[in-house]
Amino acid sequence: MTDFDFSTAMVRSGCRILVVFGIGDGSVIGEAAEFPFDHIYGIEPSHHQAIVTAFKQAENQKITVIHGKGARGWGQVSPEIPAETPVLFLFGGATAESDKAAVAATRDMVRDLVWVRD
Amino acid sequence: MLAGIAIDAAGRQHPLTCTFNAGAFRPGEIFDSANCPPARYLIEIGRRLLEVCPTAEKLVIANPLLPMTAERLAGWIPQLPPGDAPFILSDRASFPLLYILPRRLFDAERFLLLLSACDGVADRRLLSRFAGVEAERVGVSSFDVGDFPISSVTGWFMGRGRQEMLRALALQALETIEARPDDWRSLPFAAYLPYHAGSLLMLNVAARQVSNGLFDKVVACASYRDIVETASGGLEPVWLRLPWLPRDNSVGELDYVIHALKRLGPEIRHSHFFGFLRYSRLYDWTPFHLIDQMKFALGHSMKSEEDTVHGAPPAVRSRAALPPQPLRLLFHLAGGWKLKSYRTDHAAAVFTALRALGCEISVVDQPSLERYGARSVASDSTALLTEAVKAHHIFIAVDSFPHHFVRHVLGWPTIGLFANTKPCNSDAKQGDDYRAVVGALPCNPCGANGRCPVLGAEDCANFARPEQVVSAILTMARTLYGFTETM
Repeated sequence: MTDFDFSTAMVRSGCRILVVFGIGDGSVIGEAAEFPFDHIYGIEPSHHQAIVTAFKQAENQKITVIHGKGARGWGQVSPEIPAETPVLFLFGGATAESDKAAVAATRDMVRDLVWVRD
Repeated sequence: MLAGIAIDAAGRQHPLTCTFNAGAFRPGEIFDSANCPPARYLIEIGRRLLEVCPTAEKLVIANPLLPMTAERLAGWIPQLPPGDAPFILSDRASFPLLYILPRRLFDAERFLLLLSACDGVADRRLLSRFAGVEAERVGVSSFDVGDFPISSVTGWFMGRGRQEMLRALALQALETIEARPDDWRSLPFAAYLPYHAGSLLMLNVAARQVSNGLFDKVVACASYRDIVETASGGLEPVWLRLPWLPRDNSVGELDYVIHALKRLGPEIRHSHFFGFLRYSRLYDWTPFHLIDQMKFALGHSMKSEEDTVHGAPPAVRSRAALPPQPLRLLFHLAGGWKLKSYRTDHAAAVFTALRALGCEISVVDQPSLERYGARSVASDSTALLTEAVKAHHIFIAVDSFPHHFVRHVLGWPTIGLFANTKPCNSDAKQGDDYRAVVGALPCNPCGANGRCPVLGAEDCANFARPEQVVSAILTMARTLYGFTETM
């Protein structure tokens, strides 16, 4: 189990879409899949890790794993999310700030909820 | 060797033995395409047999994976069963040796593309569906092909893993037919090609030149939407929302195809047939361009040199509307794998020489080269790449997607830098506005990716030397743009 309270976040902010930067071993995405998100995007810079997690979740059409970094990864996700739809963003690691900046460059994040992992 | 025998109404046999075309386009040769599964060759042999004997009632076709002559094939033909039910003669383990097919199956030839050519049990079930009558398979108990080699003497790349992929798609086709008993004959065919940017581009460029081909759609990775939007060949994309297959073999292709089918989901799986268009033959065996190999895979018979990239004028040609000075040059020097990338010290030498002659240098997505006087420009989409290219006179690039896109889609003046791959597989027609430069080492093509199998280095020694690259650039600039050097 991770420390994220997805249920409360969904209720308080109305977020039905989750975007995770840096999916690691995929455990956060796996846990989030138990909650009623409309869609979960995982953006992972490691190609191998992205494939492994994508294979695990292959039959879950509500999860999309993307291999990419920062703006490049976000660029594949952003066309699928309407600007007015609130999103729960989960950033983490050394690239958290640059990933967040990449999103903010193309999206008004005022309705979004942002979590940053240590 | 590829072999078949047409049998007419009187029972007369009309034999045909073909070889793989190595560039001569002689009668009796069939185009060599690495992207074609054996079943595509079965279709082509059938077409040739019907040219030899248009009134044929049955076609006996040797498994294209086997190096068979018509004479030898004739000796394998069993007592033909009455009626027009399809028949497979297989070895003890059900590996097909030959197919006997009623001519009518060639009226809807693309269904034959679904045959695995390695599993006689699955193929018999498929042929039963196609023909509407129960097909027969007889195994020769005294004969066993054994393990088919990973690479065969006739150029097949068809080890056990590859055979399992073809089998998986054949079984998928059976599942689809069973799920759609009333309308499966009207379902679209999708080319299975969720691989890399270059192969998707080549397929789309090829599709522009093939009308009434075997395929309606293409299964492609969703991350390549921009490529299909910019260079569509008319095949409707079926987007696969999976990361593309890593090049480092850390994920097996069989594993990938199984998960790809899962990912597509039952709705897509049961409303399409899938044809495998990644390599079934050795990529560097054939002398033909990948675009031409894709054209054959899509159904074009590719019978003359005029059908090819090298034998026909470029489909698109364009050039910069810029003053000749300063000469603006855009380089792409980092390929999809290490040995395709141009050495940094050689790049530095090229840049230094060209800047001394008054040229302006840009590089695609390589800030590390800015220390040598180049400006790095972002090009992580085809739109950005196009914008960057159009601001430069000449594009100079290694054997990778940007090279192929710029030359075959934009028609821009290009110099190709080849090293461990054969230029003829992915260059363009030579001319004033296109030139491929490569070294002369006999080890090309080596087939390696990350490290030289001879010297052990991470760089390929077969790139043209800096002075040759500079010379090629200046020659093109003078010819196309009237450029003159300033010192």
